[in-house]
Amino acid sequence: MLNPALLPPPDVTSVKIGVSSDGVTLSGSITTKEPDRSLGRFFRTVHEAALQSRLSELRVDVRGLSFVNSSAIRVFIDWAIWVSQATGTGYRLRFVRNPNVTWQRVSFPAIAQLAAQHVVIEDGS
Amino acid sequence: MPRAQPSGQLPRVQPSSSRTPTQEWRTAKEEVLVRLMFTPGSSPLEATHTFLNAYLAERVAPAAAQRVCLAAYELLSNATNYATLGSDVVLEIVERIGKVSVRASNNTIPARVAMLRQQLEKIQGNPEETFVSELKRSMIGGVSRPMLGLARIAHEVGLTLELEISGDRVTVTAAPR
Repeated sequence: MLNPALLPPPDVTSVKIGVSSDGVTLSGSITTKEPDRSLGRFFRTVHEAALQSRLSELRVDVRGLSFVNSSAIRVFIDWAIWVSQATGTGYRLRFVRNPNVTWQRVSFPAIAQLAAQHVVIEDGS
Repeated sequence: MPRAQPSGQLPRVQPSSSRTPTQEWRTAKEEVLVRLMFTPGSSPLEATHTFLNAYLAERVAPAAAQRVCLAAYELLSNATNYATLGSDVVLEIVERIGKVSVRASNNTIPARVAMLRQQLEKIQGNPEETFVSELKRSMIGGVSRPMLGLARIAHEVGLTLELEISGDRVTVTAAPR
């Protein structure tokens, strides 16, 4: 289990980030020019915490993310790569998406393809 | 006012016919709904996105607003990144026969013009393939942001991209098919 108290989310304009014992929830929009500096670092911290906690699965709920820029898509790709390259007992990264949101419908299958064994896409309601 | 206005006499990268906006759309009278001007290297993206989101929510259907907002963000991002010093960057939201399109224009160097032309030809040839290959390039650390943004416009939201060049002034239009 993750300890949310040890994972304070960064303050990123227009994005609301929640942390629970089984993952992260994101809502709003990611329009910041260099999301790797804020969100990317945070995702990396969560990734390392998940490995340390020996989580079998980490849930990233993006249903409330209505818009992300291209740089933010790259941040999600980075996360998929970290999971696929983790040594030892890694975890499965489960993205919960809203298929009615275009960027989520189009991007996540492609991201999952890049790390097929380690990334799962779930259509949320 | 932007320096380069669409004109049949300007060189244009033509997409394949199946992705081309209709002739009716091309010749229809246009109404400029929004015209915003920026300086190169400025960071207007977040504020512009917020403004357009609110503006378009009142004006067009949600799906169209989503498409236009994404195209506006990505075109403006490229235009401000690649505009030469002293160039003005113009972003316009335009309506023709009920369809909303986006165009961004800026001055740039010849190498960027050539690169942009190549990128758009590739995207227009196969938007989906280009999108996926750009994601893969991201995975291996390629410098992919400009191309991924353009590929998203064509593949993700299904708009046609057209390039017009007038001297060192480039205008990229994202229009409905």
